[in-house]
Amino acid sequence: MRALCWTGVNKLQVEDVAEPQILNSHDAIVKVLLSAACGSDLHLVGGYIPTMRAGDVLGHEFIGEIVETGPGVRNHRVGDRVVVCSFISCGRCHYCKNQLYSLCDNGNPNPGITDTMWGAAPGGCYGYSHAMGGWAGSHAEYIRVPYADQGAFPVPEDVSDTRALFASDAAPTGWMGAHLGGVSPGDVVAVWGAGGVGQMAARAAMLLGAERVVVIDQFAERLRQVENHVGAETLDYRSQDVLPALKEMTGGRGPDVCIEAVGMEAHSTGPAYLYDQVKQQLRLQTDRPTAVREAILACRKGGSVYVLGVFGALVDKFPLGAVINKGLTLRAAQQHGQRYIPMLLERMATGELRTEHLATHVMSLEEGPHGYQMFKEKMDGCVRAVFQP
Amino acid sequence: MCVAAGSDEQNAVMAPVNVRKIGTGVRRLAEEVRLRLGSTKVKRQAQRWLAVTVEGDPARITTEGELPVPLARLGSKVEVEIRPGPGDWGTEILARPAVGSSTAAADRDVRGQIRSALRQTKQLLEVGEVLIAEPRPEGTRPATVPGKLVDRAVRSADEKGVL
Repeated sequence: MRALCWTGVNKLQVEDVAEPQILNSHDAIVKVLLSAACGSDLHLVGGYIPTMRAGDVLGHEFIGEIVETGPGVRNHRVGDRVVVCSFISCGRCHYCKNQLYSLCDNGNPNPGITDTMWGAAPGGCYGYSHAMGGWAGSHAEYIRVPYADQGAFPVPEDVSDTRALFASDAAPTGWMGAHLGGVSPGDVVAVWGAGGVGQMAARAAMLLGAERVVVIDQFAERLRQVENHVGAETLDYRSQDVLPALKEMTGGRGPDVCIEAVGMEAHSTGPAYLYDQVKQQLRLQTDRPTAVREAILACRKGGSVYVLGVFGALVDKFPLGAVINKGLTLRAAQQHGQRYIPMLLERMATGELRTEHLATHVMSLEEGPHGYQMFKEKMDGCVRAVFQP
Repeated sequence: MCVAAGSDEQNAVMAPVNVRKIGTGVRRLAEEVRLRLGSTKVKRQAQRWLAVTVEGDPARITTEGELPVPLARLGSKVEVEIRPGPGDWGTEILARPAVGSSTAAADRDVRGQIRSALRQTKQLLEVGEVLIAEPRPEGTRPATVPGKLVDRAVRSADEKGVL
């Protein structure tokens, strides 16, 4: 079959690879219908996550059709249209039973790597390097889905492939940020990043009753999407100073909940950005935490900051003093998608949650390398490149 | 790997030197010295239990007094302790190399085997089977230095960590 492989730093290629097989009884094989490029893939493509191996198949946000099931699969049949959570979780360990699915103890077959790096291993993730299990990704014609009863969800008939696709990652990740960030009716919420996850976090905050939601970014077309499709306010950080603007919006308090949806390659203006770039390129820090810093400084006293962006290891100039002295609650996680996906699919079916606009560039798998280039460089207003294998 | 030194004539009679073997030998010797002459902290570390927590109560862990297969396979090389976890944390399974088993290097190998056995035991008890990762679809894997480092990390990933 054909698959989009990482072949080196900033090098991608579509190659012939072997088809996946059922290896455990709880596996299913899914024929991929659509697979989206995600902002967090850019960290892999750019070589910021050092446990990639040339030949690894990328992709972790996808929808497909089940074509084969292992003998232990109970909830799915061949022919089911399913959206699959990006994180691979067993559903049986303590963390899964407590709905902290991305922390699954049993979904990562290479636990020693992250156990050593982070003190404990989270669950596995499709197409996200050998540190996260080395699982082959979804930018391919077929994909193996372990623990299929836990991670694959039937898509309601009246929800299109393009809408349901984002129930795999962007929508549950965004929802989790608003939910576990503690958004409640009457809150003012600020979201850093107007990509797919940021937009979904903003929409989630609105659906959870926030009174005012503002999304911060620099790309005009993304900010327009926020205004037109999400219904939130926007702030362009190239033309406005974010902290004073947020103070003004909130009567001098700062937002109640600040959600960071940017990750380790944050952009910004001013000398802090240059400083972070130099340190990251010299490998004196692995990640650029510009948006996290700003979210912490912006948040009101006693407020909550939720980090949704992917970070790999170490950051510099982290404002811990602000966290402590302002009494902030700081939380973060990879998505606990299994907890939210059925509810999100229902909201998609009723039209409360619309996502099709994120798929700005739908193309064949063969065009994958070009799709990632467009996505990385935000060419032609690309918010997400989506591949049809 | 051969290390060439001296004239061609000398090389002709010198046996090839295996640098990797020497490296391993030196490392093992250093471990042995570190353990024997090291601080109490180092010695304690070598005797520390490795542990996992599994769902369910302790009675479920052993069948008619028999340990789960991955741990039972290690036989007398290991000591095993099973105890209830606090609150709703199920059962804690602890294992370590049997006292006075052997050298520091052998101990290190056994500790790796224990990590792997504990992880497999947990999967068997919670999910019913051990997750199989390979073969997986993959493109061309060129023999690069970073690639070899990743391959090496992956090969030993089940036996490593702070578990």
